[in-house]
Amino acid sequence: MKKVISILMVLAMTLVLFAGCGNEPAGPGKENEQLHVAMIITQSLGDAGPMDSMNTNLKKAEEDFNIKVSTFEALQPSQYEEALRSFARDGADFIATAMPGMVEPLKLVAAEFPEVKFCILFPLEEIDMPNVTVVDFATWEMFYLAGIIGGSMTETGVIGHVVGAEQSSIVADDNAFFEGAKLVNENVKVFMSSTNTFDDPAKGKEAALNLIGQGCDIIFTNAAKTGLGVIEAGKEKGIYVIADSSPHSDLAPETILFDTNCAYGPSLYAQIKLLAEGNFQAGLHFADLKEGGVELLLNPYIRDKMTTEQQEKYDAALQMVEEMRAKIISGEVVVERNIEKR
Amino acid sequence: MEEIFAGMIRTATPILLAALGGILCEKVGVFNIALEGLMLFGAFFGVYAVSLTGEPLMALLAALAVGAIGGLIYVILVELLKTDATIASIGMNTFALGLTTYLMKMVFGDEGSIRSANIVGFSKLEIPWLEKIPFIGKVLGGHTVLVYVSLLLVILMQIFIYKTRTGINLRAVGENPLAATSAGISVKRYRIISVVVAGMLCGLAGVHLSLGYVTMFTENMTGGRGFFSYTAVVFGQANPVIVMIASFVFGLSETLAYRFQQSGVPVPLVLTIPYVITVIALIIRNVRIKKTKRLIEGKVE
Repeated sequence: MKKVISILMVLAMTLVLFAGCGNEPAGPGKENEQLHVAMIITQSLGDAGPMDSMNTNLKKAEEDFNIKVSTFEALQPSQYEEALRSFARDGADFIATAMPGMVEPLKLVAAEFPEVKFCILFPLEEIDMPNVTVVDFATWEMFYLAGIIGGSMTETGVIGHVVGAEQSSIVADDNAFFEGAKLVNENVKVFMSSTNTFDDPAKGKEAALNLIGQGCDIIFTNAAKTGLGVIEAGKEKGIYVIADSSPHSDLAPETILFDTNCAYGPSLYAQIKLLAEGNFQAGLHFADLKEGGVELLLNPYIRDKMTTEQQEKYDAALQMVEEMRAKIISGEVVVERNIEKR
Repeated sequence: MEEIFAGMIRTATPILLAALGGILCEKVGVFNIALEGLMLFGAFFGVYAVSLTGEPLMALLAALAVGAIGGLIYVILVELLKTDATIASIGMNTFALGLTTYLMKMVFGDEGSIRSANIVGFSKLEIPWLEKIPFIGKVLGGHTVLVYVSLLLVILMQIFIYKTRTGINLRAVGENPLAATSAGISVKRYRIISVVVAGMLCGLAGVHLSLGYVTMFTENMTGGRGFFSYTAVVFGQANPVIVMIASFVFGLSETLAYRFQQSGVPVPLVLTIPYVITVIALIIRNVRIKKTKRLIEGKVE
């Protein structure tokens, strides 16, 4: 008797579950044709970096395009796949995410939900699926501009480049920087030094000290945390450093020349804009200067620390950067993405 | 040229300090590849202490203390509770990485690194008479204090291990524990004290990395240096002077790797220099040891 009752109860409960499902299809999003954009991030908000930048721009898109947005922090790799799937199942039209760790889960879920559109920023690999947009950054464009300032400011004519690995995107940046520097300084030399790691500041410092020993008076980095050691070496030796990925001016106000930065937020905004206007495009997309995907973050304190002669060079360089930026945006100048090592 | 050698000493010091700890463990017969984890503890707690007090000296003490505690935990696991030393080492290294990363995020916010203005590093020592000597002055001058401490420790340890009574007892414990026991030497006591001191040396190595070499802490900032230390110990057969030379070889090969990159040789190849040198050095070393062994055995026969 007990058994029968419990089986009946289980059945009843299952029925209730099914009943719950029955109401779902008429869920939000589809009825009033309001687009639902979900963003799943792998690092917590409050980083004053990529995540916050994406969130701000998502909120901006919410107002500009009258869409429904949600943000979800999936901080553990084990949550990635489930988070993607839940939003896809819940009727999100567009799911945006970022970082290389998301690539594999995204491939799985995107195949399960062909009608949902996905977008991944900075995955470090190409994903060839009809409903996935891959956004990478046209970093070579900003390094071209960085080269103009670097080439103008160097006195020895030798510039160092500390990198975390010798990969094609970084070689392209190196070449673009060299081209930019050559515009203003024909005999400039750029030395690249790889530390083979993106998170060992001590190695970064050692590489930088060695470059300084070889006559470099400006060093730019492409090395994430390894670059922190480069900043320290610059501070110690009084050498200008062009750091990467986030603002570093407060760390070394007297030696950080400026930072190169990939703007996640504006790039995401550009993708949502495309979607809202019905122009979603799958495949690889480079967020470039034109849409604000890459930028130079100037150090607000540095100009006051310079001699008058340096200030003149610096001002002239900035002016030239503005001119070239306009030319690149208008398409008059095309910076080549050259992945061949010099 | 001077700069290359100065770079060699800079890069070798963290490896050397931890290796000195490794020597003690090796001499008393405790297998210890937890040097990496113990270093990481020293690196983090040093930075933590200095961020609280603003005193680099406190960082030094904190690193010594946490190194000692780490060493004590390790030796209790291995000697008193008789766990497998390899597993305990792996556990210790994983624990150190996890704990320091977790605490970093708890205490300093959700970032991959700690680098704030109130973290004061060790200042560089100015030794006027040393800097006047040509060549050597440039190589040895202007380093932070622990660089000189490490060189001094090499000499002290060489004397301690080979010239003092306690040092001889220490070696006896490692070479033949049974004989040592029958001679009235407490094997356990020697082992516990040695591993605790080794932990302190690793703590020093770590704090040198985070406050002497650079002035910051980042997740997993030791980056495998503890394993290089162990290799140096094996290579030098736990003889302090040879271990020091081995550490210098590692340091030199890393510095050279940065220099050679501009010479047109493919970079990935250049980056293998430290590892290739390690392998070659180990081969040469082992061939030599075998030869001497054969000589000794020949005499006995």
